[in-house]
Amino acid sequence: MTRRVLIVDDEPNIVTSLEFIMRRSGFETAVARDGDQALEEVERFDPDLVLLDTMMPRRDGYEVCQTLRAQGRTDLRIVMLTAKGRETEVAKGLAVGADSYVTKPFSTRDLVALVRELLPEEGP
Amino acid sequence: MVPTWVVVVVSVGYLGLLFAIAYAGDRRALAGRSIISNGAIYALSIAVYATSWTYYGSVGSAAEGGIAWLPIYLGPMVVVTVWWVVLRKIIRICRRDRITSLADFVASRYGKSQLLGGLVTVIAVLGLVPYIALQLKAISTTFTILRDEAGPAAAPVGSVPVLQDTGLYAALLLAAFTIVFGTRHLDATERHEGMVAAIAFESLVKLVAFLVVGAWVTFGLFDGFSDIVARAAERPELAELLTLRTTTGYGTFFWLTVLSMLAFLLLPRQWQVAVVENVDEQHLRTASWLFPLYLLLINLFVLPIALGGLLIFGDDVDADTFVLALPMADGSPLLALLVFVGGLSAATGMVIVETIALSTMVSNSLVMPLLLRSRGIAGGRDLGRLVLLVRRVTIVALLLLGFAYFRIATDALGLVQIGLISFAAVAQFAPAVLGGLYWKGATHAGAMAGLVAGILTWGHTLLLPSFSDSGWLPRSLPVEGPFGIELLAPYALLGLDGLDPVSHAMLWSMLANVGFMVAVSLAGGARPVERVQAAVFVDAMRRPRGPGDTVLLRGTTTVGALQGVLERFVGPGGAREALDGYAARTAADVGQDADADADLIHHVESLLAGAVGTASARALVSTVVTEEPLGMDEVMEILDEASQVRAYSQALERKSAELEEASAELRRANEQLQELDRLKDDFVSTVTHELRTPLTSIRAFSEILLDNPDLDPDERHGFLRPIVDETERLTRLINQVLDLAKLEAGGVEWHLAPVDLREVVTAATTASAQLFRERDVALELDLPTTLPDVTADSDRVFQVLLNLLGNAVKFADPERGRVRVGLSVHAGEVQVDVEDNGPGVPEAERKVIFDKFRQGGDTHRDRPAGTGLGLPISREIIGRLGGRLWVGERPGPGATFSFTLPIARTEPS
Amino acid sequence: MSGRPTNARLVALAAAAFALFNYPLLAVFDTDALVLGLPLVWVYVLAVWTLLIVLVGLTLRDR
Repeated sequence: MTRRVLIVDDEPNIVTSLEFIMRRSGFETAVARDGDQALEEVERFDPDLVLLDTMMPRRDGYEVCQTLRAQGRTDLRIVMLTAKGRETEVAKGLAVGADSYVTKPFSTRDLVALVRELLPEEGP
Repeated sequence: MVPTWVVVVVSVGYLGLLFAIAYAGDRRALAGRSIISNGAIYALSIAVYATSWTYYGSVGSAAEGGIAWLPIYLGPMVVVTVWWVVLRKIIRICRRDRITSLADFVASRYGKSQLLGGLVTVIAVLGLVPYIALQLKAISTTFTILRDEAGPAAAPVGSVPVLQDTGLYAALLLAAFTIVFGTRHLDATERHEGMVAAIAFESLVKLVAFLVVGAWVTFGLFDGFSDIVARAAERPELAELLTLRTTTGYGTFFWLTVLSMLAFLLLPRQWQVAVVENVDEQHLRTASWLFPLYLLLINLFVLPIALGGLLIFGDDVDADTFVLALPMADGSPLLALLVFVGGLSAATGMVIVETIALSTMVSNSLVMPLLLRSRGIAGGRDLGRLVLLVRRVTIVALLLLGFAYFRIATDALGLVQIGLISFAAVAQFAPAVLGGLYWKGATHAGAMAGLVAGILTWGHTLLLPSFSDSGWLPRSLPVEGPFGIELLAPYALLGLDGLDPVSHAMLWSMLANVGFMVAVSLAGGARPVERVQAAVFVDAMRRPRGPGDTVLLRGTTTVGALQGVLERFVGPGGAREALDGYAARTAADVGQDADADADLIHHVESLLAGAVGTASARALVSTVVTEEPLGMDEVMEILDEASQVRAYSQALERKSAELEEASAELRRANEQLQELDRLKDDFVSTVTHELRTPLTSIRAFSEILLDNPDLDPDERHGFLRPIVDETERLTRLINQVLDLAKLEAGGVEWHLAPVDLREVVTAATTASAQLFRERDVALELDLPTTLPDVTADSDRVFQVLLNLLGNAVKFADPERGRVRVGLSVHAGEVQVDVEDNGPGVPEAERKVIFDKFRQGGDTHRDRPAGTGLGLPISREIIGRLGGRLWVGERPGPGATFSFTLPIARTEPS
Repeated sequence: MSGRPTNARLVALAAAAFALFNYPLLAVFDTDALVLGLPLVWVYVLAVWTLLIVLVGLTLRDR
């Protein structure tokens, strides 16, 4: 079964690149441009993992993460993408229930490795 | 001529009226509606100065020496002019330290000395008993004249048996009155409103009576002033009285003026009404002219009555009784009765006030200090009643003493002579009081030496001779000296003769008094407490209550112990009330076991001072306060402070205000710094974010291209394009950050010149033409035909216009986009408007869009194009060029960004 | 009126009063002459007295 990854970011170029990388790595993808869309896509697309930007219009990444966890989606893996490399941002992300975080700009290979690690193969 | 019973009834009835007035006055005072709280009543009460000496004696004196009687009233006139300066100061000191008598004032000034207070009291009693006797004599004499069938000429003063002497009954009645209204209860202020009201009434009665009889003599018996004078001028022995040089001499006139000045200020009864009973120092304003006017009026008819009496009676009648004798001889009993009542007013007023004042002095400065020495009494309860008892006994004793003096000694002396002896005794207080008020160097030892020397001289030169006049001592003594030693002759000390006895006595006693006081003060040092009191008194007008007042009372005790002391004088309720009142004012802890602070100790001491005098109060308080020794250094420090306390506290206030301001400034600066720090932090964080975002795309696409060499050319192109775009974005961002930093740091070089904005607008729209075409946005230019130049840097204005046009295009309606650029002239400025037909700027965003990295809208499509620095940079540029940049506040669709630039001044060249 | 100037005025007035009521100024008016049928010195003293009352009253009149 193909794993699903939801990409949430308001930067079109970043979304384009992430989409390509994730597909190339064998994941099914969907895209959301802001926090509200992200919540809708999670309902519709039912991803296994979300790549979630922190700085977005409407709802920011932390709020989205918090909402998802509050909805009881504990099996959903969440990776926060942050352009602000400060310790507090990282701590804040983990505190609201993210599984991991990645600082922009990131190595595409490392990101794919991280995603694979969080989504181990379960059978065929 | 007037039946005895009528005289008795009238006298007793008059005293009854006084009772009623005093009673009403006390009731009103208790109800808080004082009837004596005005300057006129105050002035009338001070007119207690005019006693029977004035009422009867002035005429007697004028009959002997013409206007020689006047200095006794001119002296007060001189003193009254400086009342506002001197008396006000005394009133302030007394009010602040609860000083209730002259003796207490002197004792307090010289280090709260019981010894000095006692000495002043003894002198005052010694000097004033004759004066009281004089009043009793006047009452007794006039009473006798009034009822005597044999007529005024034969009035045998003092020849009636003691128990039939009116003077005795007058004395007892007055004692009763004084006790009732002078010593009803113990009050820290020692005010007696009812008594003052009665005294003011008496002053009115005696003035009216004297004016009536004076007018009756002048215009009834004679034909006006000039008639009397003309008739007198015809008789050589009377003509003498019309000038001064032939009768009294200027030397005597001078000394009598000096004497009356001092006495007027220092007589215990004057001190009582003018200082102790003063309700408001502002009353001095009225009294300062009203009181001398009173004196002027009461002296107006003295000379006419004296001359008239002499013209009618010759030498047959004692001139001291002319005032009464004239209506008697004329057969006008009603007028005579009025005169008698006026004289009664003068005498009783003096006796009442004088004995109250003296009884306060005797109890507070003489008896209580002695009683308090024995521990048994000091420890007893309810000392307040003891104080009152002492005062009552003193009043009775004083009146009986006066009566005795009158029976034994006054036969041979005229009213004026007796009065002058008293005046001269009282004048001995002047160096101690006035010196103490204005000279800090005056010491306790100096005051003591001066007083003793002065009073001894007085006794020798005035009192002793008065005894020989009465026949107790050899008649020759005043002139020949004791034991025949002529140098010691009382009337010609050290051979100085040619002066009248009073001038002679004043000269020597003042010389001795002032001399000793100054010499001893200069020779010896002062104890610390004296120096403090000196500073407190001399600087009274310049300092409010300062720290120096209390520091000498440094010591430790509990509130309970102080309360115990207080209770013995004012009762448990009063003590509790006083402490609670203090606590309410100062928020101090007044629990039984709490430590009493210096201020409270001082407060209790001053409360006690009102009841028992400052010296005794100090002694009482020190029985419960363990005083810590105070070093000379500390005292000098206090004195320094005390004398400069005002300047010091002002400086302190200024300093603390400055300090407060400085710390507030520091706080503000710190807040600003913190805010700046936060802003910088935010800025760095935001810039980091803005840099990382394009870098993320660049790196991701680069790695994709690197990892996937097999991509077809279309895909490859699609991934290369964003790399280029994002690199451009990065470059633009870096440039703008640097640009803004340079602008803010003021490091930009401005090329200012007159600029035609039409040209710049045209250039900017041309440069943006491509953008407009791409977005299919219509551009509308609204340029006037003539436009004044502005002073600006055209490149920078161009930059601003490009930014605004870019924004306008970005936000213009995507379907039918339209942008308008307008130019217009306003007061001294050219305004540029850039208007689009987009969604407009929401009100909430209007302010923040000019902040760094705050981008308007949430459009994703143009994200790479904006850095969030365009508007902040534009606003900075326009601000630097002296204009303003703002966004129109019109709500709804369409946004208008406007800026102004100042019109260039046309230079002549 | 307040403070120093008032005080200085009053002290000056007192000094003047003392001087006017004593030798030698007093002696100048101490003659046999009569004014309006009254002894000159008497009139003089009463006049000075009245003047002083007026001046003190004016100096200290309320504010």
